[in-house]
Amino acid sequence: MALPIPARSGRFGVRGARRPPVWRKRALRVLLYVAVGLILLWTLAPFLWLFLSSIFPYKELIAPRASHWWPTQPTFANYLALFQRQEQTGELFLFALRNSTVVAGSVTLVCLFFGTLGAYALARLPVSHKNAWVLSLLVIRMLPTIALVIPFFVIVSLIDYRFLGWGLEFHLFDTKLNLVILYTTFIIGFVIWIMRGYFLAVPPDLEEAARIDGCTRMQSLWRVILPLSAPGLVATGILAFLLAWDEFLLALVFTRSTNAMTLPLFIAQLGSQYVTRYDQIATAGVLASLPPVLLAMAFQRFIVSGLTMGSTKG
Amino acid sequence: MRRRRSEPGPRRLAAWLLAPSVAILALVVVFPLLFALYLSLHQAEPTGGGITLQWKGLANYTQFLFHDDLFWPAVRLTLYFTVVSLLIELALGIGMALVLNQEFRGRNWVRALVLLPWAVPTVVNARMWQWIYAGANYGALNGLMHTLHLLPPQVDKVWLGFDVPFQSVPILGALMGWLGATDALHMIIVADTWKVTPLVTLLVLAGLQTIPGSLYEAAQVDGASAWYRLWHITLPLLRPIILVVLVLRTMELFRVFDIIYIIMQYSIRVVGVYTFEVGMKFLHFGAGSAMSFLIGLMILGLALLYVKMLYSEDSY
Amino acid sequence: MKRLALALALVLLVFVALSPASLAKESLNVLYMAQAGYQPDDIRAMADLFEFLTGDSVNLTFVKYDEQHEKVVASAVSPVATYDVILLDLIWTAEFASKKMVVPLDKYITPQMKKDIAPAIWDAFTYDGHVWAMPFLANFQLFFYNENMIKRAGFAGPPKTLEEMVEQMKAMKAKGIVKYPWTDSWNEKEGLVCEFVWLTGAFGGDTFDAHGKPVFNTGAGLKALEFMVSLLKEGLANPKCLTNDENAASDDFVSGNAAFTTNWTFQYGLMNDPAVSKVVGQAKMGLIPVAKAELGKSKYNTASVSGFQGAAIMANSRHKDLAWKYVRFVTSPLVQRAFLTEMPVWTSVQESAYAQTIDKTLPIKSKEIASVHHRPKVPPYPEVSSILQRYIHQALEMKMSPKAALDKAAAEINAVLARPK
Repeated sequence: MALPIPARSGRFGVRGARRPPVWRKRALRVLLYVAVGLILLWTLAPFLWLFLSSIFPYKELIAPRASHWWPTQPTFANYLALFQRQEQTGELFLFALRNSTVVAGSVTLVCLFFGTLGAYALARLPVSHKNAWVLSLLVIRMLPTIALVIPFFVIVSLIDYRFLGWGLEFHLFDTKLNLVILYTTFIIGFVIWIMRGYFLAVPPDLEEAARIDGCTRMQSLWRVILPLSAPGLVATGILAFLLAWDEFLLALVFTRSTNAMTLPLFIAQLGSQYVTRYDQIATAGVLASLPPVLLAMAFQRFIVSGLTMGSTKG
Repeated sequence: MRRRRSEPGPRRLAAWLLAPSVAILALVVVFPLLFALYLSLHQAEPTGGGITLQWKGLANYTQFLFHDDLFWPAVRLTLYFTVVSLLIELALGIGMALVLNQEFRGRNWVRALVLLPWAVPTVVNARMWQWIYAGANYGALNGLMHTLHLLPPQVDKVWLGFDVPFQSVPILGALMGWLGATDALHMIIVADTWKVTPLVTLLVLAGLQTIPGSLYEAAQVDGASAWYRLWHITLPLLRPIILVVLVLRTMELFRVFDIIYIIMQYSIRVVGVYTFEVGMKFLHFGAGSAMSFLIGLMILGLALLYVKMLYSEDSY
Repeated sequence: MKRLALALALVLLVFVALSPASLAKESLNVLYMAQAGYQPDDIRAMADLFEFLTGDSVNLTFVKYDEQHEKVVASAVSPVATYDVILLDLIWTAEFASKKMVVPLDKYITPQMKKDIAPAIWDAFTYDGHVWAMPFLANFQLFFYNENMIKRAGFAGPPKTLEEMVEQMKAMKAKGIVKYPWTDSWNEKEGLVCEFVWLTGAFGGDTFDAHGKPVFNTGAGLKALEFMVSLLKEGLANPKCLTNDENAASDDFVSGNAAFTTNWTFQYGLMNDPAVSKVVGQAKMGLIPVAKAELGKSKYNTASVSGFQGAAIMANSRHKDLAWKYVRFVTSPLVQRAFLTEMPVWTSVQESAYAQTIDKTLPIKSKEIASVHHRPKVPPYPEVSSILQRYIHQALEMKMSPKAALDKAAAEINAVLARPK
């Protein structure tokens, strides 16, 4: 892994500080644009194909591809069908869309609220064994969901038994609340970790000044530190939302019906009846990607800073 | 000076602020983990109206480690998936970052667009590539191959097939077979790489932007070639960020489940898929928990490595 | 102030998340599969009528066949029944019965009902001397062939034996009529076991003996697997088979990319539907051919595999009587007469002049259903099947010889069956 340290007095420096010839500069320029073009092609082509597939009529979709790259009669019928309550698929889609929004939104708010408080404590207040706390957060963040699914499943069943024993008409299984609780496992640690990084970056003098002006700790958090780390809050919120929006394994195990089924589950199960309706799958795929893709594009800068913060120092 | 409301001492306050998060984590992470440990020492099976438990000691663990035909092949396959994906992701990510770090027209737009695959949900990504790889003449990849005349018009390749690559090459073929590599696995690696590379690219790009331009200028004055600058300035200075990406991605790759389960169900048994099969399909909660624990331990090892690196690389 | 608003919004959202968990008064939850079998629209129509007649409501959930088993088991473990009525595949009878996840239906079943359904069908849902599900779907595999391709290859009609079929396929391939004449669902899923079971039947044997012990590694089972491998080796079977489930195999056939296939009853309707099929009028349905050596040994010279599904009542349902009413209704001869898209389970309906006029294929279906072979009825079926799938697939991938693969599978299955409960 060890790479040589830059040698300043390079043996390769013999050619001196001559300028490269003009043709070479131009060629490099062309090469650069070709590279950018390739990057864009690799990045966008698969998703464009997904969109194209969604506006293909089914019979053209299963025609030999080499002669059918464009739909001769593009149709948005699939999009309309997904918003049709009366149809089985449309009804399921709308339920899944609602469930995903509610679950991802709630998880984000809950984690952001509690996580920010915790992050502030870990960044600014004296806490005994602080390093141990921070480290254990990191370890928790790295735990694979698959390691928790089985105990979760057994525990949730046992809790539901308790509820039934007490004669309650209430259960966790197949509810959105259950998903919200389970999703916090991998999101709250993430939020604390990133927010702590942002808080550490706020100069302590500012907070001191606020304290001298008579603010309590909480007031200074609310009036000074949070506004200063607003980009961090936005980035963390979006990242948390995307994590929850994307989750599949827990939804697969813990949802049964329209009560709690989320979009990823809906899409994974779509098109298994008789013929594989890839036009429908593509349509639902495009729609499910829209919120995260738009969020990512709009807040690109924030997100990159959040990701950097999240993966490097905290 | 305004009136300061009575507030608890800083230690007290910290405890109050941390309490909800710690309580949540204890409830939804620590307790389930301990419970998994308890389950893993039993034979635990569901019956109508409950779960039956029977003490088995370490039998579940020894079964997987020494007597199971599928456990070690699953570990090997997962390692292969992880290492190959990592190499491709890093090479592509660094390459793309170097390009995006240059000055060109519309650079901000391109940088924003590059993020797109990362935002596409995993499930959508899986189904999208499944459709692209369709093994009939209507599959997009087959269509592309036909349009570019890379495949004869009558031949449709089954991209998600089970042939072992390099089968005819003497040692390499046997090695691939032993690792469990198949065409399908490689195609899934491509699909997964598409989604994740933007993340690597942007992290590396952020790292590139912290390298002072003066270093390059000095090298230019010395007449160092582009290759020399890349190898002796850029990469060494990117080391910390590359290491971080390396460990983060290793952990995420090692626990891969969604994309493989959706495209191939149980026919590519990486450890995640195998655990799910034992625990949630065959409903052996005890054995499944034991395997979860083994995976957890492996990842814990990686996590410790990561922590060590983070704290020893502070000098950069 | 702002903080208060935030907190309020938070609480509100959590409430929204909680609210829809409330339960209706008398409502039934029913799990059905969204795959082969009656269409969801048909199932909905049946439920609508039931709702109108009883005044109770029926919530239907449709899931993929592959996830049906996990959904049922998870719902059985949790104390509050997510489902009252489920569709039970015959391979789960032993598992669900031995774990007491569903209730025995003996007390509801009248002698008249017993008499009007074939013993082979009842048998599929009987375990430990009790009946655990009411027969609903008489699913089984049939033979589908493209008549045009057969004619163009210079043959008069569909093959009667497997050997004849191979001969026709070789002619088709030689004349370039179709690249891969055979397609099937040979991916590592339940469908692969089904194909293996009927092929073993076509070679005159069964995969498991009467005590549920594996016998597929010698004789008919071995011949069956060797036959599958030879189809791949000679380029007669589409290599894509290894990644096909039943739908994908059906896609191959209806898009005109195969001359022969076997599949469940649903394919008949599909291949005659001009909206998705390119072989309307060319595609025909017939009896599955058997090996030449087996001619004359069975009544109709054909072999198939059973995929019967029954309606069962979950043990943790709190509306068992209403559930039975619903089961009784949807499985009744009356309803089955109205939905002849699937083979009726009642002998009286099968033989009625009405059904025979509506469905011209009933004579073929009756012969085929009388020739079905079953998958084994053992409690750890999912594991047994998974082992069998894995090793058959290894052989099809040419990574193991058929003999070695089946021997290994039999040994592992024996180990699973011998495991103390």
